[in-house]
Amino acid sequence: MEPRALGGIMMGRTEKEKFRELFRDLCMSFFGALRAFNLYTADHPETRKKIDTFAQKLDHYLSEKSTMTWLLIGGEVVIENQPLPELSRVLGKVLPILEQIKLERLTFRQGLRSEELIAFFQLLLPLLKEPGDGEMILAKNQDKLPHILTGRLPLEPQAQVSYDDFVSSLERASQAVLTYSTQLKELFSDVKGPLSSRKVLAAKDLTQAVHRMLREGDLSVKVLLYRRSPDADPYIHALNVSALSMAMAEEVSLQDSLVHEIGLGALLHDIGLYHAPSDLFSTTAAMTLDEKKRYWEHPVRGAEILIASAGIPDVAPIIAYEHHITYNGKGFPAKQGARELNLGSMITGITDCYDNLRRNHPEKSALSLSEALNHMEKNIGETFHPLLLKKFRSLVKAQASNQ
Amino acid sequence: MSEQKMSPSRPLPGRVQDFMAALMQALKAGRLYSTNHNLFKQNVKRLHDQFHEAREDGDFFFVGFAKDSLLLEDDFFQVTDLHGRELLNVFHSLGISHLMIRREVAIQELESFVETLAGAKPGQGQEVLTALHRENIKNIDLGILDYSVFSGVESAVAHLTEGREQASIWRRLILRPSGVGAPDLNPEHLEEILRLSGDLESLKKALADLDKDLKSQVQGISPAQRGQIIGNFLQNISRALAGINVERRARFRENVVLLLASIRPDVRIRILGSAPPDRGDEKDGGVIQDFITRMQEEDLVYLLVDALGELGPQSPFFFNLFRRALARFRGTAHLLDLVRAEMNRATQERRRGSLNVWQHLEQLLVHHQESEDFNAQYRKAIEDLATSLKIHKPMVEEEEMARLVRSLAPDSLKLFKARMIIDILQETQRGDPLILALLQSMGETVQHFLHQGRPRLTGNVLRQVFLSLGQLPRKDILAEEVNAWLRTEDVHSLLKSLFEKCRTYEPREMSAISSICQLYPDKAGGYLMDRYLQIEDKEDPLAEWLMTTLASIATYLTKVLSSRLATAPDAALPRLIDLADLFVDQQMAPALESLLAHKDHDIRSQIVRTLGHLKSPSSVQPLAQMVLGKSWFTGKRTKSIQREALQALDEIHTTEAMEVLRQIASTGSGELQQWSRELLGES
Repeated sequence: MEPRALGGIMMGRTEKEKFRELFRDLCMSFFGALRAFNLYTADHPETRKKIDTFAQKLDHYLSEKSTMTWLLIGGEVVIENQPLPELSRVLGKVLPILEQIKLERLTFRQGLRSEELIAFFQLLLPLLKEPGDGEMILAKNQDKLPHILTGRLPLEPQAQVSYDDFVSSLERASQAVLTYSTQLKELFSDVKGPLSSRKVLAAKDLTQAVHRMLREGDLSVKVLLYRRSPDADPYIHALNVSALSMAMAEEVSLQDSLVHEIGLGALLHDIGLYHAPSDLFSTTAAMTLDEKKRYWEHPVRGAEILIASAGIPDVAPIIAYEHHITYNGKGFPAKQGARELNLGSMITGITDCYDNLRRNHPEKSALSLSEALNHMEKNIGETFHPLLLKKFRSLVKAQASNQ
Repeated sequence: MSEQKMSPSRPLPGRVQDFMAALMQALKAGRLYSTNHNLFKQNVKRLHDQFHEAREDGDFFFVGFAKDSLLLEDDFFQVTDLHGRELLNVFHSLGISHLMIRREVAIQELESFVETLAGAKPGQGQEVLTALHRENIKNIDLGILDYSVFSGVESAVAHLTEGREQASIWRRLILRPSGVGAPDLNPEHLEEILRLSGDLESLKKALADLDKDLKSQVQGISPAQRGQIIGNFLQNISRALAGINVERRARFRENVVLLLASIRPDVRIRILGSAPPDRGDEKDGGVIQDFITRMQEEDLVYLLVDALGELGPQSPFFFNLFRRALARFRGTAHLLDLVRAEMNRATQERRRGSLNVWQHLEQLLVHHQESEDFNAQYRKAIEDLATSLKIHKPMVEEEEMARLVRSLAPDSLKLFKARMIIDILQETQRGDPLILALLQSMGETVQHFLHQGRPRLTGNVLRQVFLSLGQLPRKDILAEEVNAWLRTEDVHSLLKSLFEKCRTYEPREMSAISSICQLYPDKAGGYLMDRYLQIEDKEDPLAEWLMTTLASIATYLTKVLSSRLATAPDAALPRLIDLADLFVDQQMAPALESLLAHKDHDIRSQIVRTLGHLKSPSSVQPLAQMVLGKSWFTGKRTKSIQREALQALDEIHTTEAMEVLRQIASTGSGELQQWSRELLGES
């Protein structure tokens, strides 16, 4: 792979090799710790040592990136979209068992501590011996593991995307998406009032970069639609909604400038949620009333922030304000009567809902593409404009047949 | 009355104890797990089952959370188990006095309710109630009162029963939420209700006692909460009588009408506005709607104006009364006529103080009518589009797509943005730091439309701004910001363009102009005055509208009117003096006094009369000069104007003015002395 600019990061072969080595090492450390856990007690020095070693290495990586995702499918290990075929043989015994318990995807998030890793091992070890109800047991206990997300990798047979296709496409795109999501995290941090001109510029650059990638095929809409990672990361959600909204805007033949503006509005549609410390929303327990209020108010807060930010086009705050108002005038912010919605808001309403259905939520797994579309179809003419949902379906169909 | 006197001797029935335990368990699950978690769902399912056990055959389950006991239906029960005590603590800390769940409650509603309750912090009872509305939980009601309400109610019940053993029925009628069907009554209960409902004096005393007990015994109870409890009580009595005795119910209604007519207006507003008109018990009208329906039309619009002026447009009491009035007149048309007529009358009677509230009410009615029309059109458009898409009309798809794309045109976006800012302003309850930024952005939009030569659009946007501004905090600072959007010449040209399009001067046609005048009173005043001077017929609808509007913004017009008085041709002076008379603004006195030497007798006479109406102490000296100064005027006309000056001094009635009258009564000559004595009551 030739060095290429991805959101300001130069990725070359040497660097890629370094990462590959790191991933391999991490994977071996993980399974080494699991083995020690199987042989000794949890508080045995050997177990502690192995676990701490893995936790430290992982922590080092996560200090730069927000997540690290492992895919364990077809007897192969793919870490951060880097296939590691050399591990297939080494882990030849354990991988089929993990496959039986449908542990196809393992995402580590920033903030992981050794205690949580121990809890995960305690859960996992018996399953390796009795994999029968493994998937259900892992799902039920997900709330105890806020920094380790497990589950299946949804595959969509109708898309007919090959594994190689998937990996190579993601390899290009997801590295950029992860880079962008880090930039977005910085952009959304410390939002106490109007966005600074630097942040506005960064958001515009980001939107343009995503649009350019969509145009040039580096970020495939097919991947966004069919291979949406179930990761609940809100920054990836914002990027996905922006990219899909721009794809929709092109589907309805809007001019380039409007496509960008809608993409920017979609990127920032949830900015009202960040008008507060980012750890406000708990991921495991029920939402507190304050969290609920913050959630209900986020369209208003977002619109206020964007109106007050210089250089933001008019459609962006409208999208932030209207993206939860439905076609028949329901939703929130609540209004007494019906209201006509802007095209940008209705497009974002569709892509936001789609992407939300396709990602994991506490105790609720992501829906498959067909499940998500069926769910949306049920609300046609009420939540969604019938013509726009039809256009969205066309977009999905076109991507499925686009080999 | 102390909690001990409630003496809950009976233990809690097992079915209720199980329900309480299930509720507490569900709350605990809600604090630990997300709503999608199995354990949470299992706990709520159990709660749902226990609820149906607890309500037995009833249509609802009602429970009040007293200090150490629970009120079930109409009696207090001991709480001895751990879950029950924990639950009491939860509700006490939130400030929730009672809970009512209807039979129809869906499991999803219970899930949302438990999640909301579990996530609430102490003192967030009102926010929990708001959340129920927001989450569309229709079958659960909460009472947001301190638990001491039960002590207050017990005191009132003691007064009502006067030693008889009928406490339970009164508790039920006072506390049971209306809208859940008629209560079951035994013959003794019925007899008690008939006794009270048929006797106006007893009813008056009962309500006075109830109000007094609530006021004295319930910690922090607001007038609104007292109004709600009394309104609820009256509705419950009416409902209890509904299926039993038509004649007695009619008499009770008569008594309620007399009773409500006799109580203080501010209390009456809160009782009548305590419940929305579309609850279950209102199908046959209910005693409150009955009262609204039988009120004199003029009284009803005054009730609305009082509620709007006192509580503001966001108040649920005003909102409920507004909807009840619309229900009575089946729409806005007749109400708008009534408001316009009463507004004109208030102008003529120089009751300038309330004119801006009348105008606000008129704007709200116009806005309501427009929203109704838009909703109907929008619903039809949705249905038409759905039908067209079903039968695959490609042209319709193309047209609709083109319409949607037009929503992204620069002007459309400006309009969308303006509407959004208005929505945000209407929702903003607190001193939001970004309000000024919103208004600045709105100002740019208004200027954009104005410079594009779109006066109607500009006017409509300003109308919405006026309606939003009325309910915001820091109104003066915000009004200053809005005032800076347009220059005086902008306002004049905008008003000119809008007036050119007017034909009938009906409220709907004038609503944008009215709003601009209220937003820019100092900048609109001169233009309006000039317009007023051009109209010869005072009975002309435009002249009436101008007089009312000018009077409503009079405080901003002192300078403009004073300068007009100083420079206007003689022919215009009578109309300008009329305005000064309508404005009832003492600051106008100097400008009028400077015209007392005018050569035209009729003008002098009109000025003297107006000075009397204005009652400015500064006018005493010039008026005294007119009657004491020998060299000014002679003849019959002079006598007549001197008599008017004496009357004006009497109207001014300050010590100084009365001293002048007394001086003339003792030392004045002939008729002047006699007239002064008559005015002093000495003749």
